[in-house]
Amino acid sequence: MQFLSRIEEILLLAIWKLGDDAYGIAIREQVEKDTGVNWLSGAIYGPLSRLRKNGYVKTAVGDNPSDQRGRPRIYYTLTLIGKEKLQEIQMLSRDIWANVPEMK
Amino acid sequence: MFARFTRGVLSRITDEIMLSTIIEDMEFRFAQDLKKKGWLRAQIRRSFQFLIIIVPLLLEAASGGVSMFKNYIKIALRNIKRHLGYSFINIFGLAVGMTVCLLMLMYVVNETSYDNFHKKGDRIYRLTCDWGTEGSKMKFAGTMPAFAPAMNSEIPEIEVAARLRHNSEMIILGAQNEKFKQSRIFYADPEVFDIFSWSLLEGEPGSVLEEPFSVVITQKIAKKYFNNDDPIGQTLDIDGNLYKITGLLEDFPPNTHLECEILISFATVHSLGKYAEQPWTQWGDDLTYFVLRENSSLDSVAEKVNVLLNQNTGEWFTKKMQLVLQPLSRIHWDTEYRGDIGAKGNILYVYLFLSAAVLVLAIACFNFMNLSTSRYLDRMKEIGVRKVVGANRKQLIRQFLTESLLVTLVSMVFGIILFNVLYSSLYSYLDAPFGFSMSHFLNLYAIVILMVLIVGLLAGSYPAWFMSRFHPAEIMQKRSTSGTSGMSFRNVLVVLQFAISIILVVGTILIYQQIYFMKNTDLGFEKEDVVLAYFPFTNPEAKEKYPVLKTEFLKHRNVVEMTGVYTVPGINSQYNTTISKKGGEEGESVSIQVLPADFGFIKSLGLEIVSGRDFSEVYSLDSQESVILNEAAVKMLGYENPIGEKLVLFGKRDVSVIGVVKDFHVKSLHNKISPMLIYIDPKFYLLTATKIKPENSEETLAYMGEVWKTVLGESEFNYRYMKDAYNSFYAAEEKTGKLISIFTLLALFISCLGLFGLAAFMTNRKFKEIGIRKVLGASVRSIAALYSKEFAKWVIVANIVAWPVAYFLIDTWLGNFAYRIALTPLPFVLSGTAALLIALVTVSSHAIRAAMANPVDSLRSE
Repeated sequence: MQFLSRIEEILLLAIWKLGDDAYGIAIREQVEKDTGVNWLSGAIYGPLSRLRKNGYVKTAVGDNPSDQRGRPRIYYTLTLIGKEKLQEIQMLSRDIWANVPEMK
Repeated sequence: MFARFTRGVLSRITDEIMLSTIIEDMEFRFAQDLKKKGWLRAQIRRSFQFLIIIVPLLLEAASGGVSMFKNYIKIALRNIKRHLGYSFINIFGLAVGMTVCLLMLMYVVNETSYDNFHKKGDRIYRLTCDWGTEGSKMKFAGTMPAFAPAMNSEIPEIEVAARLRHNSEMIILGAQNEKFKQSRIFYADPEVFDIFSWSLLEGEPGSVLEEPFSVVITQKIAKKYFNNDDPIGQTLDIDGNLYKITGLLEDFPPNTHLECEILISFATVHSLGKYAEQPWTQWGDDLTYFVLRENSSLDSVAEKVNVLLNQNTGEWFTKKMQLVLQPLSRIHWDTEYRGDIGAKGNILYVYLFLSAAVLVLAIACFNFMNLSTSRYLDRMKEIGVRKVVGANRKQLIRQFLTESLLVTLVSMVFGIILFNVLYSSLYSYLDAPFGFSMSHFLNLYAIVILMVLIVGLLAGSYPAWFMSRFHPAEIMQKRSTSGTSGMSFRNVLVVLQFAISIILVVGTILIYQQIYFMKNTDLGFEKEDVVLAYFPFTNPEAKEKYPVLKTEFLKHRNVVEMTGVYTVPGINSQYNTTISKKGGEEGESVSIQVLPADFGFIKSLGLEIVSGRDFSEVYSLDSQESVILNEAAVKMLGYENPIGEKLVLFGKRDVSVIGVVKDFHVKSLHNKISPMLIYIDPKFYLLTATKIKPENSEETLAYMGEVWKTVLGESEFNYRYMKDAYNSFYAAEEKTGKLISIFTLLALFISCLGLFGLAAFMTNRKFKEIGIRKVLGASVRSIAALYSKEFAKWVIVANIVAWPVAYFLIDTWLGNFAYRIALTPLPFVLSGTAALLIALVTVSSHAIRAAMANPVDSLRSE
């Protein structure tokens, strides 16, 4: 199987959590909320573009209520493979953590 | 503007969808920053964001679509490999040039970065003073301790003022009761933390220096005396008093004039009883720094401090003293202050290094451009084929720029590696305080990388634009181009390169000549075998023992003569006063350097008496009212026959001239010999100078050491030969000379590399021509001469360009010295000839090889 990098995983999760409202700024803010760290744009959009190229997310053009010039906004949603990948990751991490001795 | 640019760049490396996502976010962030942080910082942050964003996207793009780019790199690498010789010359030349340039720039940046880390730096000044009357002014770094408090309370333009009193050396007791000599100790007011941006790691800036006997130490000191324990609250034994440690300072960067290691509260000065009852007249020890309030006038502060001086001190001060405000940024450069602290810089050397750096980089860059452009002529056919197969102009331009940038990048990497290997040894050699922080390095790299990138682009752009313009049929038809296109441009570069090299060579020769001159000129005294030692003159008991010391020293058979003296050649201090002719008009006094000495002085230093006699213990009056003048003083006073003339010393002491000594250089040859008066005064024996016999000097020195310790009760006998002391005057020149000569050699080497490559290229191109000439009966010699002449011509032109520039530069440098060599044409001709010879050797090896080749090889294919 192909592994995702950590930021890719976080991004997928963020998009999933945001549901219908996943666009650039919202995704970045969600990631920042989840991780508690300020992210550089380059660290977000590079992986995001890679996710799209590999077919884990798809995009749709939608309305942008806050733009005066009426430029559209790009919304991101998970593809089927994307969702499967997330589930895979979840199972995998559960398995990995299953037999870990208690840490003190 | 910026938005369009961003959009343009981004659209090339990513698609429309990502683009709108990114642009939206960038605009959102920009709007946020604009509100919170202001226009400028928002802009900066936006540019930064942009840079951060394109890197991963570029990588992303590179892994996918741009196979064309990969192809360019592949072709470039192949070309580098195929012409390994050329590539090596090209890359290596540029790398060496960059390294040299970086090394010299680093010195410049370091020197100019002194004290620039203080946040209020541009408003910090030091209160200093001029002392004396017109013609014999002296500058002092320190003033009276009463100033700082008075300035704080009475001058509204001053934000804060504080005193720092320097201690040359104190004894600190270590953990095992061992004694350490510690320097860089200052008594300081608590306000120093409001002036200087020192970072206090522990303790409150306002309170750490409040109490008497409290000290703040640096991490270095904490480590030395307390190992890794927390020093706060512990005590330190300094000169027998116990001090409580109240604060911990971060170590000082070395590029500051004020490098403290221990700060003792100024209140301690009062407790120790070292604070004068009349602080307005205790002059000299206290360095007073202050911060000017923003938008306040410095002139009015200057006026007000002088008013304070006039109100509070007596006539003795006000008549002669003038307070001067010295900006912080000048402290590193002003060398004439007495009682000053910290290392001093020489702006002349900064300029020298800066210009050398620029010149060497220029040579390397010319070289690079020259070689690359000549190489591209070889590739006409490649361009033709590419065009026929369908490459458009844009693609060709991109290809050549990629190639040229690749080569520059490789040499840049080598250059920076080489620099990193070398800089620490350079610094230990220069013995300069080394205060480089990471940000300095990055700045330096940024400068050089920028320059080199420009060079790479320039070098690549010539073939890119020029050659991609041709019609393919034109190129293919011509088969071999004559090689003359772009020749004139390249010749200009060769001329410039050699001109710079010649300037550097001339400079090196003349610097060495001047150093040789200074070391070998007759100084008027004998510096061999004179042993100097600092006499403990502050200790009254030791002072009384001086005669005993002298008698004991002279008992040894190898001690020739011994004298106590105020200063000797090689020690940088002087004592100026005024004298007047006895019975002369009131106010007709002149300034003169005086030298308090002992009876053996003239003999110890091997000075020559030109008329009159030496001091002698036979004459009882000699120790009170006899003086010896030097020739310069006789000339200044206008005496025909000075012996027996009466003078008034210090305005009160009557003396008469008993002898005249031949002029001798007390100071370095930078300075003119000043008029001097020698008289006997045991109060001012700061030094002892002992002339010994050269044989068995070790045994003699051991004897002197024993006597010194037993008679004076000193723990050590620290001596120094006068020869070494005097030669240290020229340490800076000697080091610069050595460095410049190394850099010159490198510059010459780079120039030759370039010429070598160029000659190889030329002979290659004319291979057939040479073949035909040989068939028609030309001899090897005539062919070699023909091609050598071609290059020799340009080197001669370079000479003509270089000489006047070199003359001007070296004349400026020599202007520093009062005693200097005369400029003769010889060094100029010599370096010109050397350059010519080197060029000829480089070129003719190629020419001869080409001329020796069998014409069949070159003509067979036709």
